[in-house]
Amino acid sequence: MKVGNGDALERRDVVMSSRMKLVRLPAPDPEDPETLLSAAAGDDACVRAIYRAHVDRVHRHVARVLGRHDPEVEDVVQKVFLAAFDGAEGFGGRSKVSTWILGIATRRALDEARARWRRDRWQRLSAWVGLGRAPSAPDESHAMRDQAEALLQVLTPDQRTVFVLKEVEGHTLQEIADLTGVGISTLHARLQAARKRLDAELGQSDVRTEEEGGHRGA
Amino acid sequence: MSARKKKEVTVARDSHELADALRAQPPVLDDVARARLEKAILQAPRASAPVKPRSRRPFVAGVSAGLAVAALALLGWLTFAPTPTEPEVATFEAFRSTRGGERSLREGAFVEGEVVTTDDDQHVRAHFAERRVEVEVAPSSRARFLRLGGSDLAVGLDRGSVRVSFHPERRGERSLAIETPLARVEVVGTVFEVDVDADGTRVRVEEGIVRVVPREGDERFVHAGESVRVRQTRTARADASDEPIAANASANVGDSARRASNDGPEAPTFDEAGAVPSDGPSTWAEPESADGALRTVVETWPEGSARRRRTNDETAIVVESGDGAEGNESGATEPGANESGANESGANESIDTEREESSVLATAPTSPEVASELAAPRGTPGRALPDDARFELAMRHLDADHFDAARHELRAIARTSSVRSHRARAWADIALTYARQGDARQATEAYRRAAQIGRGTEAGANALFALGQMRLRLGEDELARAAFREYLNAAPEGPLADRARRTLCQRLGEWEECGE
Repeated sequence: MKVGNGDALERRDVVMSSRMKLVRLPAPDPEDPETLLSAAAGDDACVRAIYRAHVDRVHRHVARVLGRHDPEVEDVVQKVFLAAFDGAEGFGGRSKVSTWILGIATRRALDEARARWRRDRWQRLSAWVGLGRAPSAPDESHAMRDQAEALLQVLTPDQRTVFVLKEVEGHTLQEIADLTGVGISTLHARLQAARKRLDAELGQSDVRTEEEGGHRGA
Repeated sequence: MSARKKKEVTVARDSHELADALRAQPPVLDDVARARLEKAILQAPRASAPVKPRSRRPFVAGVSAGLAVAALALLGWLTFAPTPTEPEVATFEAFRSTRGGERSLREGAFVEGEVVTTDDDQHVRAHFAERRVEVEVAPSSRARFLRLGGSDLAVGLDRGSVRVSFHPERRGERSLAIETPLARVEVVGTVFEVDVDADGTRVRVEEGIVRVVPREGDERFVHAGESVRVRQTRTARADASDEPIAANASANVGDSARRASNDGPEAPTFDEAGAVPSDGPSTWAEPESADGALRTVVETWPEGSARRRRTNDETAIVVESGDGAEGNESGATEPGANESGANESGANESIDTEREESSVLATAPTSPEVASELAAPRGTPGRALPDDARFELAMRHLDADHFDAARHELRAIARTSSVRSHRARAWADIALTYARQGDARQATEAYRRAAQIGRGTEAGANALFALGQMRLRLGEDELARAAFREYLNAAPEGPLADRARRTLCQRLGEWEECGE
């Protein structure tokens, strides 16, 4: 009796035929679902192909949602790829591999942002009642290029995500809905709330700054 | 201070300007981080990425998790099924037939998806689904244990025979299906037997009722004591019998050769048993219809337990046959008759398994030696084939996933060939068969032998590279390093030299290989 697992060999490992002909296999296509499956099975070449093709976009995406200086960005990027490989069997082929991975990235980043938002809620509450200081508020010590991003931290993770994906990355609401699994009307409401909040924050800052300048001038 | 603050804050005056400012500064992944991430991802074990809950609040998450656990526990309590994440396992015992009965060969367990192939003197008894299912795989059979748990169990039968005992605790809580090339046999609790042979799929029911669903055509219920056969025959009518018909060629299940030799459209048909109860010990009888064109294969059971069908009309059997075509099957309908019988065309039939293999293998041009070898039953003594023909034969077996048969041919070359490179090649191909089966350990050993025998030849060098890959797969980094090094020594400019160097550099930390 023989009991076998069937064909468990990865295709890129077959280097010898009966005639001992050696076949140079073409570079894996990162958009090919087969490459994704091979990567999931542990084929290093396929893992590299997918990682190298998508890492920049995934990183930018995660960094937009979490913040470019967030220490968790790399960790989340790593988790995105591992989750993609682990869930490769579930890739239905209804979208491009890159879109599918970007969806994972969005959800993972959002999960991380929400978790942090929950962790920081006591600090926010303390700041609101006048005890202590709000976490990660826009900081004067930041350089100018970080000011814009620091301002985003007044938004909730959901508002921030839809704002950066729509206004900064240029995705349509339909695309964002596909990436996040949230309905378009909800996304629209969040986007409006985000804009309003930011506009208010920017207006208040200006007013506050002018007031401070006025007092000093006086 | 205030001037500086004003300048900083007024980087954007509204959300649109803020978005513009952000767009102008996209986050960029630096090269060091990129490389660090790549290394981490390559080295991370698969299926280990933690999945974080996506709930909005811990309370909601806790309640959801609690409810989910409760639901799972309830489901498990109701079905007594293991959680879906646990691999379903079957226990088995393999036996060898002896003159005095049977001798246990070994016991063990296998997981869902395994294939069990028995030799002609072996049979395997497997239990699964909390031992509520027993499947006995008869000699010379190939069964695939597709789903061993859950509510829908399934076993595939490619050839040979299985006897199934299925006794769920509650009727309807589970279903079991036996998938054959021509039909699916569904059951909710019974004892029955399924054969796949040259004549198609035969189902004999000892207890309960099974439903037989042919791949094409209507389903039938088969009661205790009855049997039904699903086979493919030509749809040619009796009045079209002047057209030559390849008689038994149409009877082979899943046979591409049959399809090639029989261009007419085919549909599975039922030959149903139980219509003519018989007290006699004969197992098969073939009453002829009035015009002699249509035949019904009838099986009666010696136990006399066959239940008569309600009426013949109700169980009208569609038997599509060409005049004389089915007549050739009269011998084949008796078990074993097709092993020695000859059809009208005069071609001898080999045993069923061999015919099936031949048909699978006959999909590509074949050399005369290989063709005659394929036509002969396996194990025919006195074969003397040149190495090339044996290699071709082995590769055809390999293409058909007949790994044992392929190794049989390759071992013959490795044992008898006077050409050293052929012996090395044979061992490398033996390794390939093991690798295809997922047995990296055996593959490694075979590649090692190939490298040893083929030392100084291209075949030997290539075997070294493959050996390195297999060692790497087994986690034997030091041995893999040695194999790749040896390959580079043997073939520094070989076609795999770059790959070997890359592997040494990137996987095995041989930094001096990273220079170029």
